[in-house]
Amino acid sequence: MNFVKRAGLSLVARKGKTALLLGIFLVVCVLLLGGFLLEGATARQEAEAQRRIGVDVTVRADRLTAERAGRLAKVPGVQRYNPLLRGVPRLQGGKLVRSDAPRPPDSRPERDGPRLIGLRDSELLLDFATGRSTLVEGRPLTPQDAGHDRVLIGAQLAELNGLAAGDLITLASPDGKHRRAYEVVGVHRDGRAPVPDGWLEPSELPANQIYAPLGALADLGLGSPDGRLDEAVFRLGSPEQAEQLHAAAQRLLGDADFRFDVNDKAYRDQVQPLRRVGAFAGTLVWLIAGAGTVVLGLIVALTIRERRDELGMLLSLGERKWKLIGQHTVEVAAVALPALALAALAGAACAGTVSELLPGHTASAGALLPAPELRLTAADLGRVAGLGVGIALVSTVLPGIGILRLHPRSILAATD
Amino acid sequence: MTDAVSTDKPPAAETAPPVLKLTGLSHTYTGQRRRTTVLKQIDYSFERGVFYTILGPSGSGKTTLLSLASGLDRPTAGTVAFDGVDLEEIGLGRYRNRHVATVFQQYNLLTYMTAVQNVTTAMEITKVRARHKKARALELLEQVGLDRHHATRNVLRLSGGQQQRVAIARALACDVDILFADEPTGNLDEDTAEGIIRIFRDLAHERNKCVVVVTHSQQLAARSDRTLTLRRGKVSSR
Repeated sequence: MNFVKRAGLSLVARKGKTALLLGIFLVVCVLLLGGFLLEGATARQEAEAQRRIGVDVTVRADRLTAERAGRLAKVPGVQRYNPLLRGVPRLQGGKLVRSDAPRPPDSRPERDGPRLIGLRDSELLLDFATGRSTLVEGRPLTPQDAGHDRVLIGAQLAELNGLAAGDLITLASPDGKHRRAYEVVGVHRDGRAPVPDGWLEPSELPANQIYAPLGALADLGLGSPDGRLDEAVFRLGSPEQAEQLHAAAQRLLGDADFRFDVNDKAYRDQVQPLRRVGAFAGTLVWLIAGAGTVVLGLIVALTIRERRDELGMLLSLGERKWKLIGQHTVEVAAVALPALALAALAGAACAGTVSELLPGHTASAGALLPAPELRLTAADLGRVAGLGVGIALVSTVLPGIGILRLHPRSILAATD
Repeated sequence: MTDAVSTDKPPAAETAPPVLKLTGLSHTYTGQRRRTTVLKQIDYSFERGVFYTILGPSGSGKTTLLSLASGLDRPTAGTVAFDGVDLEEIGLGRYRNRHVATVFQQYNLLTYMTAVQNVTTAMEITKVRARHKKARALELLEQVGLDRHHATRNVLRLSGGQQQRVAIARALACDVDILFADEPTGNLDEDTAEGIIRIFRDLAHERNKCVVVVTHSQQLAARSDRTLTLRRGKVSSR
């Protein structure tokens, strides 16, 4: 293995060239690492977006009940689901938010109550998922609230009635036969104007919307006796998974009044830019790898040209050609490894710069997605190391093929 | 099967089989426009224990002959045999590694090493069995007139003559059957050149090696056992 020793002596003696090679390798490794960080961060951000936003599929059908919605929720790809039923109860001992505009004389008889929306998971509502509605106090309604008398009310309604999280609000059935007190667990504010300019009956004003577990509507005698839902919303990871749910829903619910709406706008708005950044990062990685290989290959090729006499000398001593290539490979690898270590150290700084490029900070995402998590993982380092070694090998072996074609006589002896 | 054998300086062993035999050796260089035949049908046998010199005007084919005999190149026609075995059979790389050493006109030292490292590297490549390679290398360098101080300096910091001596020490270190040298004393002062010639003679006569030196120097030729002259691609000896 004397070629390893020769490589060491050569590296030490050619300090300038070694430093140049180290610099180039460092730049290539840092850029590769940056690309991988960007790729990794966008992948994580995309997964987070899928988890948080996903694709909402709204299913409506004559035969849709809470039990059937639960069965559909077991279809692969469904992350969460929300059976929805709306009704208008009466507000006992409280005031409703009302339109300032006068009521048109030809309007239908007013239903004087808030809009009660029975659900399973308030966070799954599109308004909350897109940030249009935000929770200003308390907590959201979750599947664990099922069977409990708990509600989420609008901020303006809360203010009007002096309610806060932990207080009780009383609702009654339209005929007044059923009456129940509900604990306010959270207060939400709708980003839209709470009272539009035109006249709307109280139940249609966003400010009067009250969210409660699905069972609350039955307790107040709202909804149909057969337990039919208005609709059910299913959260999928990606639009591609909707097809399977569609088939299952159609099978279970039949064609009667069947509607299947895929709302992937929020998903596309959030995920597509991330995918584009991820794809760009992927392309960048391969471009850098290609450019790095070419640059290093050229340097090694030039070095080999400069060192023809040395190679000829070694060949004249009967040194094997693979050992000559081995010496060059060791020389390049000995530079590549410290470059990789330095690149890993520079990784954190690189990550900071890259984070500026990510769309997670855009206004459209609002408070929806957290800041992208840029972290240097062992896998990233492994990929950079793999590519770095690959670049070193390709950039050494390709010019090294020239060594295989060398003939000592043509290198050493002056022509007669 | 020699063209002609000199009689003025008898070989060390008259009956010894040739260590190196050139048979019908020809070599032609093919350029872009023309072909130049440098060596034409040369038959010659080199023996162990003999110090040979090859003389000839510039362009007569001396270096080509040396390259073919030392396994640096393949002839376009004819064969070169070592101890009766064709070099193609032995393998040129193996032949160069085990049986011959060459001192080049341009020294061809490893410029990123010291003088002693150049010598020990050659010993490692040619697998010389020496317990203390560095000590042996220093001893050889001293033999060719390079003291320890110069031996441990990078070769680029040595003069041309000193580099030439390192190249000679490197060839001597390989402990091979045949030593080839291309103008080995060209850059040396008279005293050092005399010392080198003495080493070559001792190598041939005391250690039974075959030493072949290409030179323009009549003085060096006069000290050799046999002198071959190359003229128009043909060899004659005296």
